[in-house]
Amino acid sequence: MNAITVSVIIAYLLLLVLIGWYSTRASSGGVSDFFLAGRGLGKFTVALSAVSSGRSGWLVLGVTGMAYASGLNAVWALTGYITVEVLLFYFAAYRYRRYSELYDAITIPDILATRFGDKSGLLRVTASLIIVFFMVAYVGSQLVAGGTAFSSGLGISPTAGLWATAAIILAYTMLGGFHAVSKTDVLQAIFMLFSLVILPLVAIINLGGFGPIIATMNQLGGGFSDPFVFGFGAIMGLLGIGFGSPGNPHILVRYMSLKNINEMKQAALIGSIWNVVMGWGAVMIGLAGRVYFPDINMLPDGNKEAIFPMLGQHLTNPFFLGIFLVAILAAIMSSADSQLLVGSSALVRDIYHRLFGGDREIPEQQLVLYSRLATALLMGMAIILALGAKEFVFWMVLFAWGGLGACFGPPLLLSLYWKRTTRWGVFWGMVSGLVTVVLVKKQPVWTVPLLGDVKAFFGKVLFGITYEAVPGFLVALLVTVVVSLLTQPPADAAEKLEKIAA
Amino acid sequence: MTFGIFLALFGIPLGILALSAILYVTVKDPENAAGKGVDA
Repeated sequence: MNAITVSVIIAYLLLLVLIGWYSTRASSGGVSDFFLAGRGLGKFTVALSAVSSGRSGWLVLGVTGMAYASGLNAVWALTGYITVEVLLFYFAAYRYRRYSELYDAITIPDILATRFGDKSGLLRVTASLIIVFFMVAYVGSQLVAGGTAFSSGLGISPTAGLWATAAIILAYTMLGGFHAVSKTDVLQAIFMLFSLVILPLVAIINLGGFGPIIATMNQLGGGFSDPFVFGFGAIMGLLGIGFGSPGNPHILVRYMSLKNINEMKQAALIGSIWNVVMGWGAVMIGLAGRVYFPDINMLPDGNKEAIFPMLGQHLTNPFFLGIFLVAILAAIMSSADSQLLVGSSALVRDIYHRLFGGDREIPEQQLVLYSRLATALLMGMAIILALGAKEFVFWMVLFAWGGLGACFGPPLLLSLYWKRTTRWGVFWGMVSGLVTVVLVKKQPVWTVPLLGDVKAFFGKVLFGITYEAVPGFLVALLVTVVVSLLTQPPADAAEKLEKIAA
Repeated sequence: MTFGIFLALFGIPLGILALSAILYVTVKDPENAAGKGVDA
């Protein structure tokens, strides 16, 4: 590996730790500072952080690879989640932000528990366990991906790369909490955007224009020239990725951290543009890459997801290759740090402080210390999983995005918009969403005689849509509504919703 | 360039950006909606 490329990567990593160190003081005031930056972030930070924390290595490696291998169906994978996130940012984000301030809600379980006056801890515990479960697996998978990226970037072993990814993320997240995570998200978003814009532009200019890409697409035919060649179920399944966005806590808490609620619209506009440019940049890299590498066997191990670094290496100098490799690390780290912090907030804020703390006054400084320790504990669990149970980690992550969307999406949206929503509705909505996603994704054999083939059933009912987030979301929605109608809503529901809508 | 390619590479992203622009113009800030006129 070239010394300039390595220097760019090392400089980036040092910058991350520096941001963490710089943010230490700002994040030490209390849990609100550590987990939500004291609701004091600007519109740019919130916009870029909300977008980049939601896009993991999946965008820079997965989507580019999908566009390279099968053409325009990658566009459907982007369209669903970006459209949903536009709507979330313009509508639901206001309510999250306002609710957070009015009812001192720092976490997603906080919102559910306070919205329904749940003193039993049922909602808080259920939501926290689901969050910790998914987030540890999510972080574990990002560590594995980071290890691979480090090994290709710095020429070290994947295991050493995994440890390096974990050490860097842990250092700045423990030190700077949400302040550091959101600021590094901005830096990471800039690297990602720069790479996803510059690389396709260089590729197009180098080809002498857009013509050769179109010619290759027409020549390949099929999904390269016609986005509708894929079946209805496949297209709707890819659009269904959007069902994950309303329920992924590491995205939603970003909305709650905006300082001035009147800047939400600007944040929404900035975030939408950012999301579109990054998404279509990734698609263009895949399509342009097909011209430069017409045969997949020209990529290392025939791996389509290597198209981004390979195109960067082919077209630019060692300095820019360093930037492109940093963009891959940035995509991975910006998700992992946010997920780590959300898991840690569930442990300290929800389980330790709110559930076991009772009426006891716990000094804020002590809670921040415990939050830092919880961050280290969760990272330790993620490392153990990543080192020892890779299969399990990948299996978990396959449905983490959709699983969180199904568990939390309908219960949260209904809690913020429908006064008739009840505690039991939300509880059973979360449980049914989780169970449906698991059954559709990987149904245990022993349940087949009892329930039949759940995936085949939903495939038939939903016109061939088999992406688990879609049936999971719809079942959770239906169950939350039906159970809510059968049970009694809290007396102050209308007043609360009126306040957050005002 | 076929219609499909044009739609996928330009139509959809521009459509999403147009949606965002329309919402930016039409969605009212909550304070304004309540008649508090923050931006007025």
